[in-house]
Amino acid sequence: MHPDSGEEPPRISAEEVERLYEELAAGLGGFLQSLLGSEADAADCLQNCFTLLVQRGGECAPAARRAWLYQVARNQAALAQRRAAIHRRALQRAELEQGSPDRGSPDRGPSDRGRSEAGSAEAGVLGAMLAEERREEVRLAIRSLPDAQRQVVELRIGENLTFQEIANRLEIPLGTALGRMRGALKRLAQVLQEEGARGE
Amino acid sequence: MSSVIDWPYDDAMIDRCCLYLLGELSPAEAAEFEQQLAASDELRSCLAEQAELLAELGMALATGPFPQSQPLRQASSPRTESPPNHERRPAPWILRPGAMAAALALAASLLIWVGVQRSPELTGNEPAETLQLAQAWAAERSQAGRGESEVHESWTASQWPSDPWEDVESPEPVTSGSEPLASGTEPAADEPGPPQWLIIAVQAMEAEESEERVPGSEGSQGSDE
Repeated sequence: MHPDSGEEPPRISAEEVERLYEELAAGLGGFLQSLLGSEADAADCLQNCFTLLVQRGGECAPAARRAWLYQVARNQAALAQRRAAIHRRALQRAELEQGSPDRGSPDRGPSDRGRSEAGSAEAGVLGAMLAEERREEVRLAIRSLPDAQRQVVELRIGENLTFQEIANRLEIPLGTALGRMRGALKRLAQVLQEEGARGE
Repeated sequence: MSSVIDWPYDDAMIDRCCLYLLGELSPAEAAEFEQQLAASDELRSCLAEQAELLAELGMALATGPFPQSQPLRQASSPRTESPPNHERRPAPWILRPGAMAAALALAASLLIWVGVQRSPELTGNEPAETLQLAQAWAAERSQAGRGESEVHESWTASQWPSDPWEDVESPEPVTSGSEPLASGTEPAADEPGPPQWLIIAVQAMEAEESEERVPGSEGSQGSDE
């Protein structure tokens, strides 16, 4: 990457990581424990979440980083559940194969591993393209919002003003600012759901 | 866009989730919210949906110019200005996001690995486990460079409105006797902070970055061109 290209997201500072950990670790851990039903699994996922925050948190506007962490936590928990299910199935298969010696070894050969690594790299490129496409869809969805709602979204997420500050700036009641944000989120959900349906 | 999605949550719940996720609840309110979160499937579901939407907004507004000509502070940042023509055409390998990410991650992992070894945070008295965790984290960056971890793909490539939980078995419900990981209104003085390995790794990363910015220093990437 060109050093001046500006494409690399700003790196999240140690102070912000520490602040977010202090503010969110308890709640996020409880959220994960509720999803996973295991304190140990929740602790593992929590660690993954903050590792990802260090690596990629700068890709998200500061105002939305708490939400980003919760989204990552939910996906991490789903991933942990999938892995556990795969592990269980693999164990069951191994037990079955132990009972029937005619079957070959379950270990994958080098060619299988090569295909897997190539597939992983391909998935990485595809994932990056899909992520950028997704961001563009969201920008278009923001553009399609009524002006009053779009303004609140931009001030809250883009400028990181509190709702009270937005209300003061726009000279509207606090409840109106909140209502506009809620309306914007609903409309965005609708638009993005329709986009998703069209893409399938 | 005439219709509005019909969320099965009342407005007050949506607003509270939004305020919590945007950090606008007081510590006492946030702690109360988190306790309710541990006990309510509906609240968790609402929170997860709001989190996804807000994160999408955060990603979109962090990485691109603002959609309209509203005079926003961030819109005047250097990122939105047109670069000189010679900077507009990236090298061919830059056009491949995966290759670029892999190369960056690999380079970063090397810098971080060295940084961890030389971190000013290290006094020589850290437990071996702390150092191992920090180094393992740096080593993990190398693996991420070989095609992005499957962990990360799960959220960067997520397809709206696919639900990551749709094919996952429901976990056992948390019983009332199950203790949440932590509770309380404000972080107490004796409450554990971030893991030491994480602090060491991040500070090593920052130390490496600041070295890179000093011309002639060790690890500098050369001239500005």
